[in-house]
Amino acid sequence: MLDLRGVTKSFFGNQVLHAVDFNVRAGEVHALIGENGAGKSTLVNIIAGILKRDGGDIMFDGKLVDFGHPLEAMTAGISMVHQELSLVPNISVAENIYLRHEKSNTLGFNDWRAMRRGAAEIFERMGVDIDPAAPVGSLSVGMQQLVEVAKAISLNARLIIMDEPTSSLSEKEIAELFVVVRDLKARGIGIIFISHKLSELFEISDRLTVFRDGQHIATKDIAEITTEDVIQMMVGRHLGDLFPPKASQIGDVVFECTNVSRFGYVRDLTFNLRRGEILGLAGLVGSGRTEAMRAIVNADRRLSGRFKLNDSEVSLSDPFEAMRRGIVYVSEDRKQSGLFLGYDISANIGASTLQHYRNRFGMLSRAALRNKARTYVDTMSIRLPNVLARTIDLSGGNQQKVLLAKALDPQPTVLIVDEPTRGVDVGAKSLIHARLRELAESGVGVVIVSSEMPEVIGMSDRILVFRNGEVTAELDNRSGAVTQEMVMTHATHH
Amino acid sequence: MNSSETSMVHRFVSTREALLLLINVAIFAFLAIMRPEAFASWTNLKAVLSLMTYDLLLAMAMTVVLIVRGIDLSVGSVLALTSVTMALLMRDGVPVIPAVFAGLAVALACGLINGLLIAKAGILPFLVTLGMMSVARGLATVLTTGQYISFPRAERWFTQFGRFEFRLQIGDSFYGIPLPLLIVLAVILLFGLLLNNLPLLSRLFYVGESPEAAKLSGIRVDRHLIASYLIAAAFVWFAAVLMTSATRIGYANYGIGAELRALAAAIVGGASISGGSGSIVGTFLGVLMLALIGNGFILMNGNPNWQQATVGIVLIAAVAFDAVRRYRTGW
Repeated sequence: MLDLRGVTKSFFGNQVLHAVDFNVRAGEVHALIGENGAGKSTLVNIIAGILKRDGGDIMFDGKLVDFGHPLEAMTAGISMVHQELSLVPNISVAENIYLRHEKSNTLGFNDWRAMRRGAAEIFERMGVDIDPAAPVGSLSVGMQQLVEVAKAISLNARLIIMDEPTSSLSEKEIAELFVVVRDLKARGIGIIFISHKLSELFEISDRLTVFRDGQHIATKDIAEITTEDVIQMMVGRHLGDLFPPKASQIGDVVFECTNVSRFGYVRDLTFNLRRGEILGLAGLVGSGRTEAMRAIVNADRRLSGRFKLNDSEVSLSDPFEAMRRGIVYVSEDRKQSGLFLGYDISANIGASTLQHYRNRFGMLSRAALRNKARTYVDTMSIRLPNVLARTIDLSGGNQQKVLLAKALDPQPTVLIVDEPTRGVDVGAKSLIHARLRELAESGVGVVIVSSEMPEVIGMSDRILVFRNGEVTAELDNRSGAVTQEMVMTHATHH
Repeated sequence: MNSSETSMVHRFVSTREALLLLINVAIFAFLAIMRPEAFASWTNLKAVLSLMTYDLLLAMAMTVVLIVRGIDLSVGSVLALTSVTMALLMRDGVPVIPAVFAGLAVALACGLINGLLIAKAGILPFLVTLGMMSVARGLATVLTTGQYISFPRAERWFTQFGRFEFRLQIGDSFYGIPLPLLIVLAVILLFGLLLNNLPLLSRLFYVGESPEAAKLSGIRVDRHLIASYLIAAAFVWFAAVLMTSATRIGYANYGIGAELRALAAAIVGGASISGGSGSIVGTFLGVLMLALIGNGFILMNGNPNWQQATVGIVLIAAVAFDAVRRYRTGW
């Protein structure tokens, strides 16, 4: 139904798509995968009419099309579910669904009742339970994702593009989404599905296309290939083992926290952390792991909690105090609360440590800071257009590396990393994993919060499973014996 | 490293400061050609520069709070309240030094209230400082019942230094250079250097760029917010001292509309309402631009009342320019 021939695109003289061919059949889920910056997003943005192509042809339903605006693509039957949701939080679900194609009554006014009814019908068809009158902001991210899908259906879309729809969904929400996706498929709707999570792609898609450096590498039936094949095609080389080895040696307890509580989120969390150990916090989205970690550094006011660092009591009254003691928390959300997106990488890396880069007059030495940034660029293989590039212009993987470099610069004794590789490509992911392991081997206590089950299991020497703000299990994983099933049983109600 | 050096050169040339400098030069050239005798006379230039003295300080105050994603609409009326306080004390026989420090206390108190309400109570800076603008102006009017307050008993040096001029001889002609202007230029130059190079002050940029990221980076956001309103208040106090000294009166209507000129100059100079940016050099050029435009209206026999409209136009144009640039670069 959709057929692209030789589509090219450049930004500022930088070619991001090299004469790409790509097609989607009716009723199939076509997975699109590639490292960040490989050209997937550019491609789908062209299909959805958000970007203009420089060359090549696009056929939709056998006709040559040339969309100048997303609305034209929508009218033709192509809808996109965005990675960053594009819904308006303060208005109702129904209004969001019919935004820009409102139903009107005979007087020409908006007919709210008809829209609510229409929304309810779509949800019924999808088999999901969402109140059309509820404001979108009150729904979970997963529900909002489904509202976006409903919006596409209300537009009678025949091709739906889903750009990383699962990146912030819980396992349960992903399962719900997949039910909907299969239903759409059965009704002959074509779906382009972008995700970094390979296991998901194998579960849901029929065909898979790999992109690398703006080039179409291969399109295969999902039955013909393995995970290893895909990774190899994505990075163009063998990655070897997916995760670094477990700790070679685990030392004394470096950090203890006792009875950490935060009203409504965390109840009496007690755990300790040893030198050289990576402690993984597993659990569903919303199980209180992030809230617990933020409560430790008191980024959000906690009700209670006592802490011991190297056997001496510390107060950790705010993130400044925590950092002074060597306890660094790295946010899960690099855009909102991690990086200073308008600033270059050296400014970001020095954010916590400006006072270390002073000349003899006590003034900031930007040269020293920039030199330090260069060493991180090397050790973390950060790819930059130029040294002064703003971090907003970097790809997700490189941003994440800068975020990690910024957390390492104060030389933490305890490093808490929340979702260290969310929305990051495979190459950057394995590099970040390797660096975290090296850090642990050098004697730092590392805590990893991750919603990606293979990551928690693959990285951690010990795993705490969270459910409803409490730890339900502590699993020893030095031998790598923990399985996803073991974690899931403790993470969910039963 | 060649490529990074060239990109630095490119960056420097393409910065807003360079553009502003060009605009200033253009306005200057235009006026010098159209009104050679009137504009290019030292008397006129001195008048332009002297009037800039106060606006420069208020615009610095505005720049500092804009950097931390704030705004201070009370700069003009705190200026008036501070001036009135000092004048009343000196009228009643209080010596200059204690009176000036009392003025500082008043200004800092206003700044502290602004800072606390914004940082600790989480009220929007716009609302807090709009309230303060009204309170300070009202208080100044009540204290003086709207009258000019002169202070004939104050020590002479105070009433003289605001008008003191260095005489500079070039060839046969003498040029008087106002002392307050020199002091202000020195102060803002020093402040600009410190703002960009003292880690303590540089952190203000981080606080404005992303308060949440700053907090998690171990920066105490609240303290930095309060500090920036205190720094702003100190600039306002300094402007009040110079103005009271030069005019030899305290007056409750000083600085009316000054907050808007300060805001326009700072934003033209590169500060942003959304925080994280601001440049002392840029703000200086912004003030100069507004002063030249204002002077131009007078010299071209235009209606001087247009000046106020111009400030608004410049402000809107600067914001629109930024919006377009941001839209283009997707940020």
